[in-house]
Amino acid sequence: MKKFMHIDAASVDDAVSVLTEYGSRATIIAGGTDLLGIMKDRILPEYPEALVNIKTIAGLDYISETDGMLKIGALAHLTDVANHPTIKSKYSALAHAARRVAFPEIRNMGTIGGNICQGIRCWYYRASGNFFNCLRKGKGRCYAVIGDNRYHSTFGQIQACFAVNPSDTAPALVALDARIKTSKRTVAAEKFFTVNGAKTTVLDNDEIVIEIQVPAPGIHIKSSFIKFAIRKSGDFPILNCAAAIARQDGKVKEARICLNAVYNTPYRVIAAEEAITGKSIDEPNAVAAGSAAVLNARPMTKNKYKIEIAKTLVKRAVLACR
Amino acid sequence: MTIEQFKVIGKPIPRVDAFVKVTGQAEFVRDLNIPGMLRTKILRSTHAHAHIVKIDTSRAGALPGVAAILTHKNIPAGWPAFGEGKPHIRILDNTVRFVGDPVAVVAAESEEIAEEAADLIEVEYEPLPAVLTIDDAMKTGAPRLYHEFEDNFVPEAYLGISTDGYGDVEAGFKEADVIVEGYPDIRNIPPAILCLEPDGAVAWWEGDKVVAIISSQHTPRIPEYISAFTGLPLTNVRAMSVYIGGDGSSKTTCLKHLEFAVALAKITGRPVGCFLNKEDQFLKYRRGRLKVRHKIGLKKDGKVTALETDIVGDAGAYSYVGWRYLVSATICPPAIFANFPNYRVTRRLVITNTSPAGGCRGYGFMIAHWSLAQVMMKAVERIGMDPYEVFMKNAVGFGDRYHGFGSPQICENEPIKRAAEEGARRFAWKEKWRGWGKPTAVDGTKIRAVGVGWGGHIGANRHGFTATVTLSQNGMITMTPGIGAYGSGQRENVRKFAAEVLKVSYDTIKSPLADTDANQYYEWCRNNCGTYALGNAVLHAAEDARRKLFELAAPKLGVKPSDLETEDRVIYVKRKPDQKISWDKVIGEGPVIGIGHQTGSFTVPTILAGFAEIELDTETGQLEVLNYLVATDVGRIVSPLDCAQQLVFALVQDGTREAYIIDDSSGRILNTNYTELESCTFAELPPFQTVITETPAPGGPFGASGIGEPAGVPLPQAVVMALYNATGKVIELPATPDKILKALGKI
Repeated sequence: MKKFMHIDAASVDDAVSVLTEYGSRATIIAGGTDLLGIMKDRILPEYPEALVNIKTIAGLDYISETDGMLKIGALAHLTDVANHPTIKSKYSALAHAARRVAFPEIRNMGTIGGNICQGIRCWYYRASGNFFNCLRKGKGRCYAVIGDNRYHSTFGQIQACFAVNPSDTAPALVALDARIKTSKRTVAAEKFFTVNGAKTTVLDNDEIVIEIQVPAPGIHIKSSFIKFAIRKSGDFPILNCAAAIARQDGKVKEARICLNAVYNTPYRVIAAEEAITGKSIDEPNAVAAGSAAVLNARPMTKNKYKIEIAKTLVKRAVLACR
Repeated sequence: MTIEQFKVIGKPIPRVDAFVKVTGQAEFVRDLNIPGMLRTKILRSTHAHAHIVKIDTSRAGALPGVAAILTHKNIPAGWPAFGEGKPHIRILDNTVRFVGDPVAVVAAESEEIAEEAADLIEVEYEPLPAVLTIDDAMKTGAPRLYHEFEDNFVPEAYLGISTDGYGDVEAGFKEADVIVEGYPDIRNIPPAILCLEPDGAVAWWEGDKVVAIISSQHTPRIPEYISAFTGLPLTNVRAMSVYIGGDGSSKTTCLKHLEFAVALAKITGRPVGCFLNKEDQFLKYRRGRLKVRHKIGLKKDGKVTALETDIVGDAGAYSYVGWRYLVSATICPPAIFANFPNYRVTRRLVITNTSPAGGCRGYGFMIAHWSLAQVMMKAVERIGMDPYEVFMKNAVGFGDRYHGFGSPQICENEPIKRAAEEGARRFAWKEKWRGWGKPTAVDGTKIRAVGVGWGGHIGANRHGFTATVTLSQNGMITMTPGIGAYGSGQRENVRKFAAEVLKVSYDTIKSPLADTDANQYYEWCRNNCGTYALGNAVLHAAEDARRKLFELAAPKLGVKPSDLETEDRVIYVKRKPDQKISWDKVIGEGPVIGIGHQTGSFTVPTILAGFAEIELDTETGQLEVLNYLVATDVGRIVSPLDCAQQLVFALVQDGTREAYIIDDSSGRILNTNYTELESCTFAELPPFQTVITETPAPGGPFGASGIGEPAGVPLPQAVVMALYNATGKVIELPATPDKILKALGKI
């Protein structure tokens, strides 16, 4: 690793003021499970001059249900999110998603804030020594287009990059209609993700995530999360899917279904939601929702298989909300 | 002898070195902190093939803390600079031949400074066209990697054997009822073994002598390598071993880091440590690719009548051990057939702009077993037999003529039959096997199916060894040769053999780590020859020491040596145990040195059968191995824990889900990490059973015949067969969801 400054922030304001001072030359570090890999492998052309350590901000790791919503401090560890009794019982998609992130060691270190802000997973982008200086790094091209794109987007792209968002918790938060409170604003989870240079969120350089807010689901709402990966532990998703379904009189009143690792951002499949709305949750209707989910799919040369899996995950996520 | 009569053999005794390893006290090469030692960083090529037009190290060299920078321009004068005795391999060259090929090496006061300096080295490349595949390398007019290798073929003079065989292949095919010819396309291969501890070497000079400490299971060969590139006589080179965090042959070759440490130590006059990181380890070497065409003839009753194999190997950018792939690939698979009459093989080796094929567990025979299994599957399906029956029909037993190396041999152990029968029974093979292309069960979106695989190796007694066991006057019992402590328990086994002979507590016997200044040379301790070949040499040395001890004691007790026995360092007359004398009094002023020798042969095969039951998710293409049973006969279990461990841990590199993924445009391996290289974790190990039978091998130490390198071979074949029974298609490994969904007609 190269040398860098390591600045402990005492408060959110403190962190923001250091970020303001350093601009793009500073990066936030919390669990560091993504960032340290990026730095050790030196995948980006520029190396951060300073890391702003927000782990030193006291009291930002809370999990509580107040004001009709679940509030999770940005520094709450994924292990704690996964094991929290209220989250497990009422926000089960989120608990399952947090439980399926990486390995126990990473979940003990990694935070919910970091999980939704993590970088894209693309082996061209992540090749050590900035081997492929791709367009997410400011210039070049998307090497995945003619390269090995088995794990890349199946629904097109934003700004010509075909890398996917690999977060497990992000689709759960979109399905549960969460909001992300930052040092500047509160934004719907669905609008939080984008392509922003190398970043995957709408955050400005001097902005940090403070809290995740999830509206308390009514008693008729059930949520689910399913992850597909080669290995049982440690893998990023080839695909994952979260669903939150509200029912009335045995029929689906409202559904929110979100895939991830299929597009630059978590990919809400509205066609699937519409297909199941007003219907009962059974095998044929769930199959129809799965088929509707992939109508707009645009596979690349090596990832057609992901569409089959997407269909299946949507179907299974819907059925799991029965 | 029965197990009750042994003190230590067959007993689950923890290894002597286990405690120091798990408590962090064992010293590995990275733990060596020699005063004044410099650390290094390797700058690697970003091109698959290029000339280095210019290399400017001035800025890097000016960085405080940098001691020296090695490039192709400043190799110490007068050195032949050949890599591992191969004249075409330079320590560093003005041409780079794969992405990751070393270009320059910085030696500095710290690894951080070395890394910073490596960034400051300016290299100007003139890119050259690259060949990344066997097919591309063989094309007419293909870009050439070396002027000495016409058409990119590595000549036989590089330790190769291009053809061999015996019998009459044509006559064999005439006799066959079914002939199947296949060209299984093995493009993606399981990665080479990546042991926990990446490679490392430390070197320093003492006048005109060099001392090297290296993490390698083959320390005795290291002086030859150093001699080859420095031009020093062997007497001026000393190599030593420390504890090793795994090897699996991966640290026996492609040892550029050793060359860098030796060269930079020469230039700087200081000790130099060159330690690879995980990505360096990925780039250092890989398992060589093979293209294999088999033609097999089978009688209706399942007997094999002939086999013809044409094999082309990919040595990567350097041909360190490329030929060994071809040899192991063609001597091991046919060894599973008894009375195998007619065989012909053609071997060719090409060179490509990919990382070099290096040593790894399974070398070429693991892939060759897969490819042979695929051809066998088709042939056996055509005769309509149960594959287990066909394997058993051809299975090698004691006294059978079987495939050795170059000529048939007579088998001197009972390698598989009892174990396979017991394995099939415990797995319930007969109940689960439903016929070719037929699943065992279909339940909604899940398909279950079974398969069986067979794997063999002929190396249990492959190399000769000479050992000594010394009984010193101060009570010490020491032995030679020193052995690499790379985790397979060899040092424990040989101590146990000596302890049983001398009837002393086995932990009082020292089995040293290798030191070439102190120990006699041996060629290799590889494959699975540590127990049978090395073990026999130690056993004979211990017997020789005991014989000498008895000869010295006999006159003192007034009896014949044959009247004597020993226990706990006391020699006594068998019929009058009260008539006794202590070792100390017998040994007197000089040590008693026993010498034992074992001659190598290809007469002790190791053969395994593996039975797998898989489940496929027909909607996602996910493969799960539900249970796996591996069966083998080891002659005698010496260390139950190590023996089972050899079988279990062979599965972590089974190749059913993982492969290197190479970017076609740049030649770079894309998944040089454990995140995207889907290697096995504990969660992926299938529920697992071992059936280890013990039919004593008459020539083995206490009947042991060994286990080791080939242990992982049957599983991938069993999975491929089970996939065929589940889908009706042959699915090339790794069996990724896309291939399975395709086989199921979903995409």
